[in-house]
Amino acid sequence: MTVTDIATTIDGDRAASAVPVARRPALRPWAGLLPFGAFLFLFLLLPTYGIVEKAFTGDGSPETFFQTFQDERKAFVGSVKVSLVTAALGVVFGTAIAYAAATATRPRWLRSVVSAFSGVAANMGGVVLAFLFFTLLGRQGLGTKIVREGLGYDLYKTDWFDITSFWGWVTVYMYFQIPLMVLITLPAVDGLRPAWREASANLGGTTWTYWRRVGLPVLAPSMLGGFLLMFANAFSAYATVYALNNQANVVPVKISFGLSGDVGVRSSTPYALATWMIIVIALAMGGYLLLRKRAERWHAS
Amino acid sequence: MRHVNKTIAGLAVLSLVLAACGDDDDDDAATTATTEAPATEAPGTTAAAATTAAPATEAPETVPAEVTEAPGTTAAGGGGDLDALYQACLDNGAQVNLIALPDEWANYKGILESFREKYPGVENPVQNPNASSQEELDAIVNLSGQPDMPDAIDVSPAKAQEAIAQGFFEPYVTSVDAEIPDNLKDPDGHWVAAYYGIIAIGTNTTIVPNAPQTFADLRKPEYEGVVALNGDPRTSGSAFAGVMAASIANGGSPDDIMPGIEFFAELKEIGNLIPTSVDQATVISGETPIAIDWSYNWPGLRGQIEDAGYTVEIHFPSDGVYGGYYSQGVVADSPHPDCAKLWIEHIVSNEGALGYLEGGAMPARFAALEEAGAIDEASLAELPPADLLSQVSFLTDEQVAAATAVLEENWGPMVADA
Repeated sequence: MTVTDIATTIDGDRAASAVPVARRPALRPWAGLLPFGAFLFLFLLLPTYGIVEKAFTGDGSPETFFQTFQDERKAFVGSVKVSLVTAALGVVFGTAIAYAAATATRPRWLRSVVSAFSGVAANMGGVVLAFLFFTLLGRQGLGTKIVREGLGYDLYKTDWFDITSFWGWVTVYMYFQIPLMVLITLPAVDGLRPAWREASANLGGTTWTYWRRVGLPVLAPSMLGGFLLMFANAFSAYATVYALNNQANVVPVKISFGLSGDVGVRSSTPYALATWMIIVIALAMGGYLLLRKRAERWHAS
Repeated sequence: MRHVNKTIAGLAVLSLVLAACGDDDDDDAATTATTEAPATEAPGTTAAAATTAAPATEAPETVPAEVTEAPGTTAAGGGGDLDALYQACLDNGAQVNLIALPDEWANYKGILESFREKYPGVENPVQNPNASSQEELDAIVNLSGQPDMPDAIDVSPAKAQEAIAQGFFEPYVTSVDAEIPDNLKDPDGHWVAAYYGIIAIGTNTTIVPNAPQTFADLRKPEYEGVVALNGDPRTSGSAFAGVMAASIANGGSPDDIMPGIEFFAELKEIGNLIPTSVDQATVISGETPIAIDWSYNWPGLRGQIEDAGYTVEIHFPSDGVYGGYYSQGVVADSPHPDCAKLWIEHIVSNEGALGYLEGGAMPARFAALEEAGAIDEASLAELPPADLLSQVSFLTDEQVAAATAVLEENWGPMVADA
């Protein structure tokens, strides 16, 4: 067998296999998506359909759908308010902590402790968390007592603090919002190379110039992503806020009024509210995708 | 109630739907509870778990036989029929699926235990003990045709009407039907109300030394930031009762709940009312030092508060006497209809009645038991005073519906969001 023979054989093989190879790529990527597609269908599309369908059947109609939003405007305002505030605070503190943990060199274990703790705390919420804060900052809480008896300052005689009120929820939410932000931004902060900072300094840039022209633009996409993720996180929180305040005027609590309970008759209202909630969050996520694309395009050039 | 709100982490979009539908979260909790419940099916476990507490249920053992045979018993059944029912239950699953019966509620722990003692071999797992009445109805729909579908339910009167309308009940007339007052049973046998209670005000006297005795007392400035209702009256039956009782205390009536709403609006305005729900955790931590709840929830709670090192005082406000019951019935097309009937027979039996009494609840057959001499002085200890109980008249379905509508419309603007 000569070299040319081998070459032709190979070529021949190629030619022979050319047909199936050319066809396969069309299907393969889709086959890989199948499990994800099935998951999406079962756990996202199907439940969404179920909710929307119930919002418009029975006593539900387009009129009641819009009326529900009108009636519960205050709940949406309440939800948006607590979500915006906790997401904004989360971005500020989360990014700062992520930066500190990523750049601190002295205790070498610091970084791993911060990220391990964040992993746990970001997934902590609900009744347990609310109860922990009650025992710390509730009216009979340990922290409240220490401040009252030690410093002579009664938190509950002030206008601004009450664990069951708005700033109380914000305080509790921060317990999972900040760690979530740390988890999101830590990889991005790691991407900030020391060389960039040195280069900026070499060219006469101050710390401020560095952050304004290098650091923040690089971090922006993940900060933005974190902001919207935390917005959705806070918007959807139910157990935590309900345990803190069973009269809380936020959408998830209003939905639960309609879905469970001993008193009222079930109607399409909770489903209409849930549909509105899906719309709000879909808008937030759509905005996130647009902004992120823009930020990344800028970042790439 | 007890679910974690944080499914979010990676898949933001997915979380939206999970969250958007608060119901899913509840289902999670329900599932957890459900998976726990079957564990009790192992015969040994149940008995072991239950015998650790409430040994007092042994006392009534001696009484029942004679009283069930008493002349008052209906023609519909005597002891023989119950034996046949027990046998049918043993032959058909030997299990009754229960739901939404918290251990500390009206001494259900003791009543569940006495059922297992009286009917050996029949299991009575309780799914999702803290479920609301609506969640009980949901469970009937969602678990329909499955072996863990609820066999018997205990729901608020409002939800009982809904259940009748939906055909969820299988009518069943108990063997002691004649001894149950007419206002504590459905004329068509869909449900019986085995017990009822009135609204009580419990106070943690370690934190608040001077316990309020009436609704009027709750206005005092010394109770700033310590008065709690058990939930939101727009959704919680016990909070609804608290508002209705306050209404009666303030010039309202079963037809007029408005003064009650105004009363709590005032309590909120002066800072006495706090929006924290009354449950084991908040009561034990002292976060709800003064709590308005059903009289029959207090004996259970009191023990827990005392174990936490506090002292407790319970008062039955004489200015706002409001009585309420829950409706118990057999679920239609359930997996264990015979055992379900046996369970209903048990809760209206003497053992069941004495069990409720121990939990501070007024059993429906109180008069019959008293006549038969089945009640001793000690078992009355937890009961509200007789002169208050005698004032109790229950709301009609129309009154409940009317009051609910007024609450829905006014509680938000006047109290919750004010």
